[in-house]
Amino acid sequence: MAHRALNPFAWLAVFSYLVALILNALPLSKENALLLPPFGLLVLFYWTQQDLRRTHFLAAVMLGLLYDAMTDTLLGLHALLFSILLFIFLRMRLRFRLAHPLQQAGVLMILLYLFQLMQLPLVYAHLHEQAWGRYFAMPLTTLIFWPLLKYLLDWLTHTPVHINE
Amino acid sequence: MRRLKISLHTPSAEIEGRHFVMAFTFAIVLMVTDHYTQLADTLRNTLLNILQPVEYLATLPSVLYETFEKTGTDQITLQKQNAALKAENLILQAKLQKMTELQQENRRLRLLLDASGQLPSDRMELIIATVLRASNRPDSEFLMLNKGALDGITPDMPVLDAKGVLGLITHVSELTSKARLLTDPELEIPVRFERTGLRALTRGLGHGRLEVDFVRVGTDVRPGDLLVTSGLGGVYPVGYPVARITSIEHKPQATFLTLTAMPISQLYNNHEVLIVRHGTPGS
Repeated sequence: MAHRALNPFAWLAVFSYLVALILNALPLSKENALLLPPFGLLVLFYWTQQDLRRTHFLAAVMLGLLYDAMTDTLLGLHALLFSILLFIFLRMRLRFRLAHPLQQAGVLMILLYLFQLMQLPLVYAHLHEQAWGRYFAMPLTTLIFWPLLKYLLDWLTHTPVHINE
Repeated sequence: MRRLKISLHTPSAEIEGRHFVMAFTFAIVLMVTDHYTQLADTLRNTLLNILQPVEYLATLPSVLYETFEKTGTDQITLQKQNAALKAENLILQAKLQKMTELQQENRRLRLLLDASGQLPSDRMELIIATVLRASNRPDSEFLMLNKGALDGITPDMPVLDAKGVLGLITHVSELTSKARLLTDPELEIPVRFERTGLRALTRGLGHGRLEVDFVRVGTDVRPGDLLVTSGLGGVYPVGYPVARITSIEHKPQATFLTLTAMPISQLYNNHEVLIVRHGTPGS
């Protein structure tokens, strides 16, 4: 069995997930909170494209469960959605790494639209007129948040890419 | 300087697929378990315990803002507030005296009617809790409160505000608890019409609205009618205001009316709420 070294930034990863959860737990009005993307998912995507040795499904499930408890949804719902999106993301993470942060944000925006569409049957009956616009505007905010998040975490990890041949 | 070495040796597609199937199956099994049984409640409470620091840290900016705002309040404003509070206190004391008189009269009448002679208020204790945050999903309506199991909070305790019923405690962790609002689609409250005494059931519709079920066509119902808790089921104290009827609709060939109502309580504007703890008789 191949030995897998621990990620030297494991604590940073845990801390970034914690900050992401705090951002999503901020006491905002329901209308404003609808515009916030699931920061935990964006952080998960960051570490998935950063640490290529792992599939990160354990992190996706754990994070999903915490989101379920935080948002009072059916246990396993976010874990399921995060796992599906992570599987799609894994298929393209090598190409994703080479793209410009804004292009990356565009890809993540599409994934977040998929996220919103997958949970639409659950929230459909509860969306009033103004909430519809905000619900579908949420993925657009990734265009702002992803470059910020990427630059910040890149700076914290100082990661020029060393390719092991 | 520590540098992260990144290897391009990614797990094979087979491993990725296997892990995905495991995560997918686990999530589905958990969803089914949570929907149909109570087995996942322990896991949910454990997760809520893990999230406690997150909940507290998330409220830190608003707490700091309030502290900053308070220190910035000048003396004249404080004097005005003090005068207003003194006046309010006098009015409340007068009302309280009247209330005590009414309570005694009510007890005498209940004894005459061979009832228990003990008002619900004699057997309940009110715990003040601060609202940490409200739900941010459209399909659920809840408040996160800063009182938990260590404060004696248990599930199924009613939550009130100064104006009326707010909801019910559904999940409790050590330091926090989750109160489902009466506008949540999963919460039903047994009520009666204050004017006619007719019994019904309210169900949340989301967005600060309620639906009132089981009111037959031809019943005397008017817009503006006040709904109060009926006390059936023994969960909510009797006679607390719940909602006011806003619209009445009669669908053709329907047995029951479609009634919508607006809650009396201030759902999202409360900073502090009251949790009702039922004591043992005589306590």
